[in-house]
Amino acid sequence: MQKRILAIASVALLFFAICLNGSLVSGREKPDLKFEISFSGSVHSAEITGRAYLIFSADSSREPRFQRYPRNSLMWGKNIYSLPAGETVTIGDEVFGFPINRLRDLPPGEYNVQGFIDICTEFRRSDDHTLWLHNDQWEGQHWNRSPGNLYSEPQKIKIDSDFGKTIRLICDKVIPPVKIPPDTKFVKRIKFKSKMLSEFWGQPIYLGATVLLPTGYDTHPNVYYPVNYIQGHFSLRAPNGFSEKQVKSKNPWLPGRMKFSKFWLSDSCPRMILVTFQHPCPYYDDSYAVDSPNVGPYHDAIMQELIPEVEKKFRIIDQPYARILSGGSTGGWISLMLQVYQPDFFGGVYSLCPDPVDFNYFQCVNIYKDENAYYKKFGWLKVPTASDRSTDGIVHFTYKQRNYMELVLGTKNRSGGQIDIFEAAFGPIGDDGYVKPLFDKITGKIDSSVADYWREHYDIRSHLEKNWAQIGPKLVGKLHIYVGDMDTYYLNNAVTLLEDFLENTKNPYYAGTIKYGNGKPHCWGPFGIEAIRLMAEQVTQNAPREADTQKWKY
Amino acid sequence: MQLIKRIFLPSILIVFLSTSFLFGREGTPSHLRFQISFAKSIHATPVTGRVYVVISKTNNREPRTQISRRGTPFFGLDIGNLKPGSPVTIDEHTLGSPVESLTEIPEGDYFVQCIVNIYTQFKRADGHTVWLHKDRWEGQRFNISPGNLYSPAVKIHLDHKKGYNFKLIATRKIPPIKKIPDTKWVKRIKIRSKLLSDFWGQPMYLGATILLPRGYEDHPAIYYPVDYIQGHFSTRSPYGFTGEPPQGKSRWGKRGFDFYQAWISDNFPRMILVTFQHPCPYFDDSYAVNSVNCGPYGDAILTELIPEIETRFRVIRQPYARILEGGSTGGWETLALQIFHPDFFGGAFGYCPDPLDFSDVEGINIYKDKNAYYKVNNWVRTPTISVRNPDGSIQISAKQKNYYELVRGTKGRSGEQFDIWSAVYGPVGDDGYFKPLYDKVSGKIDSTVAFYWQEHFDLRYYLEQNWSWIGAKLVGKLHVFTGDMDTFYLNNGVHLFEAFLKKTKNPHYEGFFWYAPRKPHCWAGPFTSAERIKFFAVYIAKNTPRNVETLWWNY
Repeated sequence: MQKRILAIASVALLFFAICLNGSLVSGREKPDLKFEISFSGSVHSAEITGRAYLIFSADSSREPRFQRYPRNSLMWGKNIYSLPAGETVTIGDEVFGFPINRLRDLPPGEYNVQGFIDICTEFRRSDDHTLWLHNDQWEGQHWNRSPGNLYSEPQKIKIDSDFGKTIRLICDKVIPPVKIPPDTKFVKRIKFKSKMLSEFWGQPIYLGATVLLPTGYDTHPNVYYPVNYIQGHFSLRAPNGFSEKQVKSKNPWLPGRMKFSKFWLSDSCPRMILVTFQHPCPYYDDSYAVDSPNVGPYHDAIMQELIPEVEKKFRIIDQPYARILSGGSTGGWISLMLQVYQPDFFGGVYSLCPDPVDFNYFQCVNIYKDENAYYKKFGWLKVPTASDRSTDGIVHFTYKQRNYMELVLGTKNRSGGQIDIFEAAFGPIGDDGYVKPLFDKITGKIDSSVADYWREHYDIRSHLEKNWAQIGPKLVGKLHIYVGDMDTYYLNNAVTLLEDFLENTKNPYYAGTIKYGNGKPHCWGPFGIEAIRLMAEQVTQNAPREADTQKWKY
Repeated sequence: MQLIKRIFLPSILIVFLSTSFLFGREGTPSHLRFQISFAKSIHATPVTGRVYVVISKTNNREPRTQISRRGTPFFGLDIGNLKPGSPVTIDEHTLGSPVESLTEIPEGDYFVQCIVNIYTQFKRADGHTVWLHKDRWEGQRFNISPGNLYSPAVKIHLDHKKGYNFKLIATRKIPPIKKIPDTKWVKRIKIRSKLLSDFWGQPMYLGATILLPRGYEDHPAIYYPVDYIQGHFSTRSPYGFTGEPPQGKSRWGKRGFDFYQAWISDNFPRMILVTFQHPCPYFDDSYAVNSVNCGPYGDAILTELIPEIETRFRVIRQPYARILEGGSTGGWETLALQIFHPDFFGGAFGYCPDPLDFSDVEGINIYKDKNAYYKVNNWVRTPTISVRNPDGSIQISAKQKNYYELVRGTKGRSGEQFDIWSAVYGPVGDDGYFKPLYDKVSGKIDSTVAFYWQEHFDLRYYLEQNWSWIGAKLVGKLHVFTGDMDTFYLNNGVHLFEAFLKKTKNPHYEGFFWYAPRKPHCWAGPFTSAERIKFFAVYIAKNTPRNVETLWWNY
């Protein structure tokens, strides 16, 4: 009896010790849990090079692959090379995961678990590099719903009782092709194979545009319209979320964003054409509209193939004053960059919460000064670099966490994530043909030679500063930038640096707008109805004398 | 029995390792050692307190003065009844800050110094006996506190791979603070507080530093309004008032001299400015409220200190003529004094006040967070940040800041910010020290303590509970200023405080809130010192009863 009490006491003590110092003991106590992922020949007969994912979620209301990662799901990823159907790839404790790094650190509980295979395509690029990347299937580089990718039925597992087991997950389901919404009276879609991009990538690469026509477009065949080229993430939705359903809605309490549809067809709306671009690249849901050795000549393709195609098909005033750019976040950066790098072609930009316009504030990383992207050192104190916050300033994600999250989704910048595309769009090419990264994705150590390359190519503030004498006169009155001063991704800081430069410009003064939303998050600024009015006004003001700006205001 | 041995022995060892790593209890072999003692010649009796080793790459200032949140590494260890000449050991198991262990000090030459922080035994009126550092009118800074002991800095080579064992002997004693002589303008008083001495079982002092207006002596019949300025312990003149032109580029010196010139000029309102000195055993000031851990400071200030000032100097002893102002700690005190004594004071102007709502205590939501050191969003765990720059980048995390305090002192004896909040706002623990809001090592929050904080010192909550009777006395009296990127996230509490006040009815509060976008701690409005005093003078004149002449206005 005494022995038993002692034994119980010591077990309790041991448990206490484990709680105190889990890592010391847990490795020895828990046997390995392993997952074997394979795919069925019935859904994919050829060998696969790509990446296998193991996805966990404690929430079974949706498939793990559709859970919000990393808040609601846990992922582990491992590259696969020429894996034949029926053969397995093993994900065990040595595979890196996020937000929990190692399988053995999974807390006990019931999980829904799913296997997934993201298929890569071989690109034999015109620069002689051969790369394996996920080829977009017009879904906008979303691995979890990209047509052709494979997944398994979710399985329920119980961690604790299942430790030491090997669990097989067979991917025997294939994601079907994307359905393209049909054209309507107001919404038209175009898509074509880009010659320039297909040549670069050695595979057919497509560009697209989604066009929203004004009311009366059919009945005013002689009217040519100003155009708003709206920049942003890949989407097949109508520009500004226009929906004929909303037009017909009798609900007087439609939320602000939904009021746009009724407004668009109303008498008070200036008649313009709104266009979004679709230009997914092998690294991301859009290309950032740059020419880069990693993503290819997207800038040229958009300027020389896509826009001419749009302006040929629709009655657009093909004059700079009538072409207005806008966009938020990624689109905020693209729109501003397009205006700055094509100062003659466009007539003004409304850029909201743009991605870093000065790499001294690449979010919270100063790429020119920091030695490490993941932390800053002040004497002896090492503090994490933040990535996301809420308007009260609470940090929700560190920069290291954001990058580790991407690292699980893909190696060599193939996550389809934000930081990986920045590096692809702004940075040089590596020896292996993939991106030469700004910083080591594991340690965070910054490569200053890459930082210099970024400055020379896509630091917008630096570009303006260097070239103001030449491009300043073409940009007068064209730059309008808006950002919340509590931007979720700290993007306001770079805007402040750009403002410092622009407000001090002379010969000429930039004569644009920079506005901060006090206490506002991502993505603050005028949109929808307010934006259309601002842009129509800009077009009217800048129209040459001979232009009849009343014509398109019927 | 076999089974028992197998489980029991290793588990004992593990418990021991786990705890000793954090607390530096001796017992495991160490090879990085500092043996610290003090010489009988400077302190003949045994010491209960805390010893520190400070390690710095530079000696242009003594290492002991380089201790700060982002300063040079130091390591601390409690001592009990340590005799002169007898050593204690700080080793690699002793917790340090900003690096946690001596093992993290890279090989190299360093200046090393030890400090002995002497505690005093307080036999408190509540029956508890506690050991704390007694303030010596230096404002609770153990590294410069008179009577504390230290060794001269020595240059030594530290190599954590080879190991080391150094003896450090404290042979010096910090001398007393020099009393600043009174001038024509600036007077200082210091009184023994009966209430506080009774509570603490030791003589406790209160002080005030007073700036008199021009012509105070020549107008013996005139009584003046008073501005009670709240804030950290300082015996400097109010507003840095100085007749000495600034040396070099000192902004503070220039401000003080500019203010002097305005103060003595014609057509300047004549008022009396007063700062309080009320260091308590936990901090450089007491937060000016009655609390179970610090004692009846609110009562002592209202019934001992202020009456002393108002009888010694010609202060208009009417609520309308007493205003409060202060920033940060002083911002909170300003509002707390006004709110807890709504009849006595005539208006409060608080700048970047310490948390007015405990849902944001330097980033910690004491009501919702389960852990003070992490924010948990389902699977993602992110460090809680306590201090930031105006661009939002991180200065220090809540854990790092608390560990810094933990190295300065255990049981809340750091003399620092989180510890004084716990002392003032929280309940007493069984051992007589405060009951902490969260475990200082793990960060785990005790929600019963959070509830106590709310019931006692969450000022937004207090107003909400008591507005029906207190509101009428506060109409037009509450004014708050803050930068919207306050370094310590204090703007969040201000916004919540405002959200309540602006909805008040019967009566409406009739004060104001003034935010400055993108400004850090401590934004106090766009005024110079002189402009602020003029603003107060207008405010007081406006509130002066109709039949009363404002003789002080200017002469």
